[in-house]
Amino acid sequence: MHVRRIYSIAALNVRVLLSDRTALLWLLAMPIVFTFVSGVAFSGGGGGGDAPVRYALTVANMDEGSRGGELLDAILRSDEIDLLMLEGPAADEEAQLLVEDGDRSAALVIPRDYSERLAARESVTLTFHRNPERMNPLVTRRAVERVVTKLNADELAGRAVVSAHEAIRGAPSAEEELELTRAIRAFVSAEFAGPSTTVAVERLGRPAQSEAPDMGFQHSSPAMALMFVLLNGLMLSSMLVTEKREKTLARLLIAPVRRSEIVAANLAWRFIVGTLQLWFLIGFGALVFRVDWGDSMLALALVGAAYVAAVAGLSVLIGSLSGNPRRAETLSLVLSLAMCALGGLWWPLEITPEAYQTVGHLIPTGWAMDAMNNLLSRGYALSGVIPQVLVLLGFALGFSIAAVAAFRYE
Amino acid sequence: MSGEPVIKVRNLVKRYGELVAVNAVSFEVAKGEIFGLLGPNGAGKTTTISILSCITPPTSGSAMVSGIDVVTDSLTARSKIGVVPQEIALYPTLSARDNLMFWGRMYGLPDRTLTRRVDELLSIVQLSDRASSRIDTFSGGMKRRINIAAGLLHRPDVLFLDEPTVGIDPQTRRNILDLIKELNAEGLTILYTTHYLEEAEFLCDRVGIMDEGKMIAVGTRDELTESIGATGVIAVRADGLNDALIDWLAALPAVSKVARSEDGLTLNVVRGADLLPTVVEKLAGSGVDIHSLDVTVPNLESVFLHLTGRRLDEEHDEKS
Ligand SMILES: Nc1ncnc2c1ncn2[C@@H]1O[C@H](COP(=O)(O)OP(=O)(O)OP(=O)(O)O)[C@@H](O)[C@H]1O
Ligand SMILES: [Mg+2]
Repeated sequence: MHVRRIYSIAALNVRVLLSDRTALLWLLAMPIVFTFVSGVAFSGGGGGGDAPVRYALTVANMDEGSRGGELLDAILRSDEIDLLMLEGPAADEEAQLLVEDGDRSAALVIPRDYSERLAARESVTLTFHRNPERMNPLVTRRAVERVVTKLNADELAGRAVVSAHEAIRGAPSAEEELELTRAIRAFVSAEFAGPSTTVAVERLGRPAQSEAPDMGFQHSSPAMALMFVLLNGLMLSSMLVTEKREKTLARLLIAPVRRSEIVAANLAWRFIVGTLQLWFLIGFGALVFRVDWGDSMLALALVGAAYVAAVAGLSVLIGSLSGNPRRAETLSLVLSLAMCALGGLWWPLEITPEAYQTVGHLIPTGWAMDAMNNLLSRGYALSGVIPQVLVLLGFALGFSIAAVAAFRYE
Repeated sequence: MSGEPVIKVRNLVKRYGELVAVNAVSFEVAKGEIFGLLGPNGAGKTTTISILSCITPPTSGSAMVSGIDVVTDSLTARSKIGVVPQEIALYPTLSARDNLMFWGRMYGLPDRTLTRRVDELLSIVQLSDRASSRIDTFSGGMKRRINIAAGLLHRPDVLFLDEPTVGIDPQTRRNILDLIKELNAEGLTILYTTHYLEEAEFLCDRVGIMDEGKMIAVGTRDELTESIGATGVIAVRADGLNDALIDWLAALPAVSKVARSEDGLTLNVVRGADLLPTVVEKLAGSGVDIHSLDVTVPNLESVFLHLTGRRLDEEHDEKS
């Protein structure tokens, strides 16, 4: 192996790559655009700043008493959702139809006998219609549930205090009962405002950051970085095929250059370009999207290096096997998009079936995304990504050996 | 030929499956010679050159360059060989100088000597003023010249040129042929493939004629034309010819056949050159009025025709 020749070949390829301006666009600008778009989508916030988004909930209040109205007031007071009230005697059916047709994603129906049954100390069911085909804002259901939980607590506390009175002093009079329940409700409300036991979350070991990372970018930034390193890396396979086409590879083989040197140079420059691209995206994510890349730079560097090496190996392998640059590009595109989908770059592997997760761990992307999640979301450090780094290095070695074997000219 | 040959090919065979691209080819090229491989499309010229330049391993047979076996010691052999491929093998988005510097580094030349060598070659191919222009801004002929320069950087013992004049205008072609002659005059041994017989005749000291993978004849132009017992044709357009004259011509030892044509006669001859004055003198002396006289000299085309029954230029017209 002749280092100067390897260096010359690698440097030449980088120059050829850089002489193509659109290549730079693909390497640097496109990933940022995609990170931004998917980051915004994942954070669930469309507008700028921290203004909370208010969702609307359709409501049909059929209750003949006053408790239904109190429930809705409580929901409104929770200040998270707006209510779209349906009026009239058939409001409940209207709500059902609207949701069925998909005009509304969800609707809450309070039954006619709501107050009556509560007064009779019977249980009562509120109906929450939702259309599974529409994106259903979880936050509306949660707001309703939270308010109902509190009302249930009120109710339970009222009943408890009344039955306690019964046990000790005999049945209370009507006035006494009203007095007791009012007092206990005031107490419960106060307790809800400031419960006696709370959990305070504190991060230890690192200075607290002035701003919490945006959870959307916290996922999209590493995912898109991995995706574009893979996509661009594999697309670069076509440069080797073009060298076959334009006969410069033949000329290299005519010169006293070993095949192993040519393969080594091709691996090396792809590794360098991929690494520069990855760190550009990591830096951009940290500075602009405020992504928290975890506690261990070393761990991140190792994961990145092992992943880029695997991509470089696969790229040279594809280049060695292909005879047509266009076909190499098509293959690379299909392969990298499939690996993004299967490796959990577009949606978390945790939400997929077991078989899907198994497939995801047959390819480098699954392991790389795992490692990124361990570093960025689960708070792991170096020891938490060693298995992933080793597997990725295994992929790199396997692909490179296959590339050397497949590399031929004719 | 004197001394050890620079190229020595023995029974070279290359098969691609059923197809025998090179079939038991043998030839030698002496130091300082321009040797031409002439043959139609698919004759096996490029395949032969590919084997000699260590790109393609032969199926059997041996090939030596400067005494080094191209199969068993290809790395050393490659440093002795300069190759100008049939296609332009350069990086189109890089400048002429950057291309040459890169190829020089591949031959292990240190940058200092290389810079000087690149300047020298740029001036030899007359492109010093375009050194910093990208190759993709060059004309076809300019690219060809850089393509040739790239094969010369490391001062090889022998230069292989594979149809370097395909698809370029006559002026540029002439330039390139002159360049090759100049390089040869400075002592460079050259192996040149072509399917243009005029190029082979103009350029080459010796020619090997290939067809369908076989080397069907090797020799100097004269050796080849003589070997087929050939021959020229003298066509005479004249008034006042008579039978006695024709009998006299037919009796000449150099004439193999005489035929009357509508407005004169044609003579098939073995060695036409020294016969011509005799014929003209006799005819003029007998009061014949000669309108025109056409001498067809035997050439490599006649050799190819004689050996294969086909014409060389008919075939490559199909390609271009
Ligand atoms: N890699 C290959 N695989 C299969 N067949 C091949 C290969 N390379 C060449 N051949 C075949 O070998 C034969 C000789 O080809 P070659 O290129 O040596 O001819 P050539 O004399 O250089 O022709 P041309 O004047 O067209 O360049 C042809 O029939 C060609 O199709
Ligand atoms: Mg050829």
